[in-house]
Amino acid sequence: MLKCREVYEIASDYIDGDLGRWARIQMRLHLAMCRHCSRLVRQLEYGRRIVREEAGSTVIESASTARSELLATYDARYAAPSGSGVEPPAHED
Amino acid sequence: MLEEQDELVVRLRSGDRHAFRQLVDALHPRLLRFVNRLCPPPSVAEEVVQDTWHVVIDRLHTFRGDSRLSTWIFQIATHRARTRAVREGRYAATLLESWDHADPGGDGGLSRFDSRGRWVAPPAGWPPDDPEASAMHQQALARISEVIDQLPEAQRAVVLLRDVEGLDTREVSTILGLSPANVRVLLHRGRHRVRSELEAVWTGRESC
Repeated sequence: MLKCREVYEIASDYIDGDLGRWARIQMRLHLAMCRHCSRLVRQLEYGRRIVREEAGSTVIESASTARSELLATYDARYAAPSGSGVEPPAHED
Repeated sequence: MLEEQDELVVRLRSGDRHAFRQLVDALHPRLLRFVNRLCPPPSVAEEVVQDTWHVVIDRLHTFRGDSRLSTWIFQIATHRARTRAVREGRYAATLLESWDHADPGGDGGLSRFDSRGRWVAPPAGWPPDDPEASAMHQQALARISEVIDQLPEAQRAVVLLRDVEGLDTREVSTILGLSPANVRVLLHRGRHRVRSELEAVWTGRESC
């Protein structure tokens, strides 16, 4: 039977599904019987979600010229001979 | 998947600007979001990411396909961001040094247990069943940005790459030049710190 301290140590791997089969079974047994450790796991899962939610709502605007400068640099480096079809073909009906 | 990547790399090397544009569209916002957390403000992050793309363009022929292309690009971005931040005196020269200096005692979690491994200070009873529906969730969301920014650098990088970018341990290990075991320890510490700070929001107590 895992101790709560051991659960604390492997809880992060557990929520990622990174534990081996035996450790996972031991973990589930412990969580079925321990309210404190069940809370810990739910809180870690919530923390993971909220970090993702906050970051997902963060949009940093790029300078409008940034992309065109990059494309120009790319073209200069990998300029293909004319007529080689580097642009996707235009749609033809 | 790997065949798709091989095909993409061939297209990029042959001057297919449509492929390059798609790659930039897909990765640029993610790189900017990540680098801004390592090396703010956004104007500096933008410079670092632009610099990253120039390196990608220059070194595309050296990409050997040992990792995913996106992992390789994140690795370059991380290196450029750290180089910039170290030059400005913001970070220690290596991530491991930064780890040791910023976090000598780990996450302090073991003090929560007695000598028999039982909880001394168990987690409080939060969150409710549907935390996202609670008004408290908005408070937690408002606080979390600051919490992430206050994590020691190595923990912050690992938490962002794993939990925001969704990369696996091996990819994060490649990007940061750390062992998979180190990545797991850093993730453990970072997540427990986040949990502790969220507990302070949800319970109105000081974090510990």
